[in-house]
Amino acid sequence: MTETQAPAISISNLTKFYGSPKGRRMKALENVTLTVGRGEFVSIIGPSGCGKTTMLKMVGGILGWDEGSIEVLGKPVTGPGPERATVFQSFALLPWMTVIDNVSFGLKVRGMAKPERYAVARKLLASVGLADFETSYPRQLSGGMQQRVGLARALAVSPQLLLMDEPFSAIDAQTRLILQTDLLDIWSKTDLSVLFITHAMDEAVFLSDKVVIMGARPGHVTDIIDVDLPRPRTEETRRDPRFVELTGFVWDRLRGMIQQDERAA
Amino acid sequence: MGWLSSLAYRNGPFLLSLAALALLWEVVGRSIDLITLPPLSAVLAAFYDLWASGAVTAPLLDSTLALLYGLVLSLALGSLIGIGMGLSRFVDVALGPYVKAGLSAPMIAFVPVFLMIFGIGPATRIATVVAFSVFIVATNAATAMRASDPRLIEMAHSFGASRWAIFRDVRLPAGAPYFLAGLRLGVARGVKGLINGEVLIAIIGLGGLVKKYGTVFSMDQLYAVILLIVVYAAIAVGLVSAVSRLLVAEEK
Repeated sequence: MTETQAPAISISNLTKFYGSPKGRRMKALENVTLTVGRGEFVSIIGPSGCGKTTMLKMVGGILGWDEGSIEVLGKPVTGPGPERATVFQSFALLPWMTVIDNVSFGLKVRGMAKPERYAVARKLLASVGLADFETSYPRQLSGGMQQRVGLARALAVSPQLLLMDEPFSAIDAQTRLILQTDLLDIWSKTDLSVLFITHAMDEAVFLSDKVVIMGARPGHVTDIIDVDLPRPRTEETRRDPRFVELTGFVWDRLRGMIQQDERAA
Repeated sequence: MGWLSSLAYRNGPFLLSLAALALLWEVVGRSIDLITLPPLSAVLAAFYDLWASGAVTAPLLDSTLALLYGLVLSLALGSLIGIGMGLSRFVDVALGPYVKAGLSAPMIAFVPVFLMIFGIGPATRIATVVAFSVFIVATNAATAMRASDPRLIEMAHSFGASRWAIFRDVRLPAGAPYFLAGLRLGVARGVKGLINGEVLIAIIGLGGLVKKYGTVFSMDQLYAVILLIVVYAAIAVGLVSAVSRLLVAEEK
């Protein structure tokens, strides 16, 4: 990151209230400050209810907040924008559309003509290893393949910022490991900045330059850990003593919070 | 073999009960000399005569045209109201009670009113078809709009889709099965309304024939027309079902 370039994401003093059924305002997020540099891969991890997904939606421009500010590439967020694309936990593929139509969906709503958007979609389908599945429907694909479609759809709009909301949490453990390395592979060939929400400690450490740990009630940042593991990260990385140490540290911090929570409940 | 045997396999029990019913009808009709129940063979003979003489052609055409116009109107009006209700809380609260009332109210009570307003012409029958079918179409259209997975709408929103694009690419296809169910139910209710109205008005269409033969106790002809109406309704609903299966299959 050079001096003149604004960071990919700059969140400062972000606070969000939720209206509760009794009309009492509950604080969902309190004073969250966080920066994602250009080209950086940052994960957010935290117990359920810490507001990590809420925050991702706010960065995506589909949810408002009460205090503080969010800037993306130096511009305040006022809604969804073409420089951001999201990959969803539930995949959020349109079941009545073929794979290629799903991948080119973001381009369609931007008004790109069919031949052009199909050409873009084909390139991305090839890059996620699904070139032969253009005319398949999502339900014919495995969970891992469906999320590859979700990733291709996000990349198709050529975003500068990729927002990933627990993208691999609905996928079986083995496939998940493969998706992680494939994601890093794709990311390393681009200058994408990534904000990645996850529940999995090893996933956060394996993927990221920085792991942000959040606590709940209200959601707040407790730690920001720099992951100093060398890239490219491979299967060897998972056996690196430093990887084990960092994963253990994240778990220690989370375990404390979760146990406190259980006792309070 | 082929389609015939698969038809027999799927509908065997129905064909069996149909044959039993026909046989029972024939036997009872022959053994007890009731004026109110002529044997099936006499009814079928009357049916053939009516058909061959062309006596049912004009009423059948009249009824079908009224049904078609009424259904198209219902579909347009009902979809408009239903989509409004499904998308806007304001419209839902403003119009929902009428739609709910219209769904359960005995619409036949309005036929005399239509008759006074529109006269004997086709407009009265079209209005009757609309009154019977528009509320179920609207109800299902509203459900269709609410049927889409909010996560898909959120996804579309995040890609910057406009309200129109979300409607076209998410809400409409997600709601298609509900729309089509509404159409199917609307056709069934529309046929019911049409015939009810015609019997009441007494001089038009298939319902008019029912009244005509009923009042002169021409029982074999009366049964023949009733049979025709039952088959007619089944074909109308079956046609819409087949078309909607085709549409949904194409989409999936």
